[in-house]
Amino acid sequence: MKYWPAMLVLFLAVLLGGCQEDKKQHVKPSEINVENLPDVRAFQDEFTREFLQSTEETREGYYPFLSGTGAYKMDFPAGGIVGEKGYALEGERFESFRIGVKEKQIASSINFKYKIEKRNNVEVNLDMLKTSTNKSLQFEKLSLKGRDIYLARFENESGAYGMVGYIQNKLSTGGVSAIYTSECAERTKSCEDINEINNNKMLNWLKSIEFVKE
Amino acid sequence: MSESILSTDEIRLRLINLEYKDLNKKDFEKEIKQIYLEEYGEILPANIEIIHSRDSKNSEVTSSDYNGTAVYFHSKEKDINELYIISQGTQDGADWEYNLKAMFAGKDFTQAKSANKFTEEVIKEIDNNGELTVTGLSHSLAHNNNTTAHLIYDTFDEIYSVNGAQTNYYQLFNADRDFRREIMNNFNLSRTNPDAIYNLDPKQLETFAKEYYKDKATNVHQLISKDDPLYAVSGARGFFTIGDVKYVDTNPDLPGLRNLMDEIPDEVIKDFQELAIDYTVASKKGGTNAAIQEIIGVNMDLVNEIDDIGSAVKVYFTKQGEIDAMVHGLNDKLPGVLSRIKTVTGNADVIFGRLVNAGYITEEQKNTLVTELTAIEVELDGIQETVSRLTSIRDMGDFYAQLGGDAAAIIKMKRHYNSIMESFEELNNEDLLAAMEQSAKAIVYLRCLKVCLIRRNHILVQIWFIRLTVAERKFE
Repeated sequence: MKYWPAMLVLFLAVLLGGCQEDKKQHVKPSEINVENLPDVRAFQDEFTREFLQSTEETREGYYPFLSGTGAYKMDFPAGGIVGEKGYALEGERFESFRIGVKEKQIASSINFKYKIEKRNNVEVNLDMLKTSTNKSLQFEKLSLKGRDIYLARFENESGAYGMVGYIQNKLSTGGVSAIYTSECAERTKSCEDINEINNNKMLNWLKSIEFVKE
Repeated sequence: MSESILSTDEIRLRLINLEYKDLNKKDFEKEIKQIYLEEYGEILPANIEIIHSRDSKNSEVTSSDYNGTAVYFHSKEKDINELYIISQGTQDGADWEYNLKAMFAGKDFTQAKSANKFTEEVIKEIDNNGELTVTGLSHSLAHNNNTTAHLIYDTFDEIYSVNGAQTNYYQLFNADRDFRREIMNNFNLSRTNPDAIYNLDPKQLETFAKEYYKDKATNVHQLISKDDPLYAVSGARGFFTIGDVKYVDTNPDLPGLRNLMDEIPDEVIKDFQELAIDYTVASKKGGTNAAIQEIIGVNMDLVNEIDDIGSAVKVYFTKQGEIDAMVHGLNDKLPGVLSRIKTVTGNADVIFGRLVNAGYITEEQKNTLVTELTAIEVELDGIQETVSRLTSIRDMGDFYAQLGGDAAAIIKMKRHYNSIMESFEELNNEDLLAAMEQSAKAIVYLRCLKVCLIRRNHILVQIWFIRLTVAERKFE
């Protein structure tokens, strides 16, 4: 019987410890002093910081990003910033923005657009992406948890290249389109290797887009 | 090809007007036949098919706010094969405000896509095998939809518009891949800066856009009333006017609202509108505190931590970065806000008096607004004075003087803030907010549409006056 108080203390300690742990995880980067943030482009930009959920990497070089509608999350590169002047948000219905990414030798620009979109509209959306990118794109479908991803690669005459992606929520309404364009800064031979790596980066980024359950 | 079936401004305007009446297919057809008879004194020599965008099976058309009607005139014997797409743009007030704002910044072009998709769908559906001409007819925002679609996708052979919201090069930069590429190359824009386009000289961009689209512009025909508010804003950053434009000097004589606009200087209306929108938008996002930080630049959560000189010093030592940011924010934002508030309070009687007369707010609400805005002005004046003293102390470079100055300033600011909060609380009651929102909306309308309280009347009136003026000219 005399163990009870000790047990209670222990129980409380565990409980409180748990609480603290919880609290720690919930501090958003936008609430942290600038000097304590990672010294990378994404966190140094005030507007971009608002979207980042934690200073802990999701994988090397990427941080957790939550869209302004709250509808989807994804990995966000350390060298990226979200354009504030071109940012548009209309309630939970529509959101669009452009991200600029600065990496070694590679400059990229990605245009993201989210709309409340039904599952049976996929073909229409792929068509629209083809129309607005002027490409005879060949989409490949990947079925991941909770979402279908359609991806197509493209190349421009100017040497820029990239990937068009459309991600459809399988469980609810919502679709994200992304047009990802990259360019190697120097036209050297080393670009070939770097572009190869960058192609994989694009793929992994777009695959990281996941819809958030209500 | 012979002359098109709708060959005059008048008949095109009357068709555009018809689109706003929400008629069913049968009545729409009947009205067109009637109009044709009135305008030409002859029976319409063609069959008509009407297709509404709301009946579209294509979700890309129906999911956006796009609204349009396709009118297809055809006759084998008379060799008539003409399709007209009458685009309507958004009707709903709230959406309309959003769309106009989005368009100003060039952020959204879903409606242009829908206009193009709808046209493509109709062309497929009517399955014509002759030489089809496709003409876009549009008014107001729909001109932006039709013309943007045309510039990107070659949707139309010809476009005829009345009092249109002009095309916008920021919007086209996002919507038209080829145009974007040309701009990126020509101005040497970096991909890594997503806002790079907004840092370019607007004049240079405008010239570039006009030159880039000059071939397609030859198929765009516009009729613009010099009294139209969209004409007034067409000089704003981002917009460029293309095509051949006929300016018409209309003179709508609508007493109440027209007078309202005349008596209030445009600058004042603009200031009031911006304040009201800023406040409404910011408070919707994060409550009153966020609203104040957004508008004035004071970090209220920071100021709230301070009660006395002791806590002020503590905050000063522990939150140096935030204080720096706040002082900068204040320096940037405060003078602008203050001058806007001053214009509004300085003209309070005119503005709010008129709003009372027009029935947007009550006399009592007017008095609260005036009193509280004046109180806010006084407090803001105080904050500005404190901040300017603060910056000069900081410039002296003496650490202790700076410390004392900052701490004292923070306490002072806290006092001003408390007073402002009281005023905002006064302003924050539901009725007043609703009235403010109503007024803000009304003013958006007034500023941008002048004669528009009800949109349907608006276009009717405008078209009517243009018709009258055009008709009068004929007699001269």
